[in-house]
Amino acid sequence: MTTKRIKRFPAVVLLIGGILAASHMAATLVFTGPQTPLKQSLQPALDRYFLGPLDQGWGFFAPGPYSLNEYVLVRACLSPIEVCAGGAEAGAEFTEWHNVTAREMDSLPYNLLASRVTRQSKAIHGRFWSAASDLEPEFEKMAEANHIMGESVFGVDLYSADATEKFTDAELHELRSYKRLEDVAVGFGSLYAYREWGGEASIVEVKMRRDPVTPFQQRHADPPPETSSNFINIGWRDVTEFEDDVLAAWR
Amino acid sequence: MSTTGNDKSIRNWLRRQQNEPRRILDHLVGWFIGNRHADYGFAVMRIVSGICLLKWLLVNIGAAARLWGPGSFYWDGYREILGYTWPFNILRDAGPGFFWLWYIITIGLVVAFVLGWRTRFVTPLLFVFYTAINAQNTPISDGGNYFIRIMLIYLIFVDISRRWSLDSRRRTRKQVPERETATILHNLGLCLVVAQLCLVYFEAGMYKVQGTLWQNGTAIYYPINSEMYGVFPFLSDLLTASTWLTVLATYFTVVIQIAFPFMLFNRITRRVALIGILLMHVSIAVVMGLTFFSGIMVSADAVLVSSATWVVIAGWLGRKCEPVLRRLRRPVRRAVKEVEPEPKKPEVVSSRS
Repeated sequence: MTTKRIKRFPAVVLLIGGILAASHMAATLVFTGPQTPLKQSLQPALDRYFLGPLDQGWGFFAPGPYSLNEYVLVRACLSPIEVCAGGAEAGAEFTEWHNVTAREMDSLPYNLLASRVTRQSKAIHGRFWSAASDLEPEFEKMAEANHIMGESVFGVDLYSADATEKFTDAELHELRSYKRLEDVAVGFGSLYAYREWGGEASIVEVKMRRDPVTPFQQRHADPPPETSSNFINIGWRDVTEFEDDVLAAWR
Repeated sequence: MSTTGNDKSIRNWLRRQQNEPRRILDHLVGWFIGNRHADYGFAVMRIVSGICLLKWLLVNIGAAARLWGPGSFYWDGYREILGYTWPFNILRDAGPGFFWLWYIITIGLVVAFVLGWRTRFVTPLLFVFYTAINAQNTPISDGGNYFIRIMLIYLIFVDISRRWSLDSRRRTRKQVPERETATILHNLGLCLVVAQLCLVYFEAGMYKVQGTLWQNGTAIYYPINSEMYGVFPFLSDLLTASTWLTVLATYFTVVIQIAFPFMLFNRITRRVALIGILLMHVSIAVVMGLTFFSGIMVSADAVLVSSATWVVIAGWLGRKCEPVLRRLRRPVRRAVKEVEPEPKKPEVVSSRS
C-alpha cells in the first residue's frame, strides 16, 4: 500500500494546529469541570483565557434542576421625589406592585417561537439573587433599606479610596458584585416604570420573589399544597436616568 | 513464562510491533490529508444552525433594541466585567442607527451562511457580528447561544460549504483545486467540533449525577412544571403523571449524556447514541420550548452522521418532495402561461417567392 506523503508546510500546520487544538480542549475540560487543585493551579490564566467569546459552562439543570418560579416585582412613586420621601402621609402617590415576570411570560405558554423578552426579568432575578445571597447580614440590611436622593447604599462609593479603607478586599468584592447587579435590577425597574407610567416615576422599589414548584410526591394532591414564597427586597431607590436612545427603545 | 526463543516471546512480539508507531502515524497523517471528512454533515450543520440563528434574529426583531440595542444599557456595569473587547463590545455605546445596521447585516450574513455563499469570509464575520449582539445581554442566552458561539470559532477552519452550497457550485464550475493545508485545518476543525460536543454531553451528565433529584429520578419533573419551562402544561402533566415514566426519562437523560462519547467508537452504538440524543433534544424542544438550544445542538450532532447516510437521506427526501414540487410547479406554470401573451407565430416565408 502506498501512503500519500505530506508536504513540509502542511506538516508544520498539522503539528502546530494539533498541539493548539489539543491544548485548547484540555483547557476547556479543566475550565468547565469541577473545582480541582489542577484548576486552581492554572488560575488566573485560565479565567483570563476563557473571558469573553470563549466563556462557557455546561451544567444544564445540574446538579440541582430548575425547580422554582422566579419573579421580579416593581412599584414606583409617581410624585416629586421630595413628596415621595415623606411617604403616603405627605401625599405621595404609590403604584401597586407589578409582577413584571408574569407579564413578560404572558406569551410563553403554547408558544415555541417566544421572544427572549419572556426571559429578561428572570435572567436578572437569577443573577441578582445569588449576589444578594452572598451578602453578610449587616450588608443585607443596608441593601434592603431605602436609599434615595443620591444616598449611597453602603455609605460610600465602592470604587473610592474611602471604600478600600472601610472594607476588606473580600467584603469589597462581595459588595461590588452585589451593587453591580442591584444597578441592573434598579435600571430595569426604572425602564419598566418609564414604559408603564411615562416619566412620572421618581423612585422605584424592586423585589425578587421565589415560589418553589410543588414537590414531586405532592403533585397529585387535591387541593394543591400551599407553597411559601421567599423574597429579597431592594429598598426604594432613585429612578436611574438614561439617555433618550435608551428610553426610546422602551417606548 | 519463557521470554526467549519461541515466537510467543515478548521480544519477538515487540520486534513484530516495531513498525506499529510508524503505521499509526502514517494512518493519522493520511486521515488528516486524505479527505475533508464529514462534509455532508457540516453542510447539514451549516443549514440547520443557520436556520436556527435566522429564526432567533427574526423572532426577537420586535424587541431587539430593548434586548441587545441601546435599550439594554442598564446591563452596562455588568457587561464591563465579562471581558468582551473590541470588536465584540462595539455595540455597547452604539446608537439605534448603528445597532440596526449591525442587526440587519447579521441577518444578511446568516442568510449567506445558510446558502453557503463565500463561507471562508462569511463565517468569521458572522462570528464577530453574532457575538457582539449576544455580548450585549448574555444573561438571556441559553446553552444554544453559548454553543453556537464556540462552534462558529471552530467552523472558521472548516470547509462548511463543500456540499449543498453556492460555493460548491462555483467551485465545481471553476474546478478549484483543494489545498492540503486547508484540508488539514478542516479536519482539525472537525476534531474540535466533535471533542466539544462530547465534552458538553459528558460534563452535563456528570454534573447531573451529583444532584439528589437526578439520583432519585424525579429531576425532569421540576423544570417542566415551572412556568418558565412548562410551555405545554398538558404535556408536562402527561409526562410526569406516572412515576415510572418520570424516573425512566430522568435516567435516560443522564445515561445518554454520559455514555455519548463512548458510544461513538462503534458504528452500531453510534447510531443508538445519535437517535437517543435526538430524542432527548426533540423532547426538550417540544416540552420545554427550548427550540433554539435543541436545534443548535442537533445541528452539531449532524457531523457524526456519515456522508453516505446523508446522501441516502437527501435522495429519499428528494424523491418524497418531487411530487409535491411538481404539483406546486403546475399551477405556477399555468399562471405564467395565462399571463404571457401567445408567442407570435413566425411568418412563413415562401421559399418560392
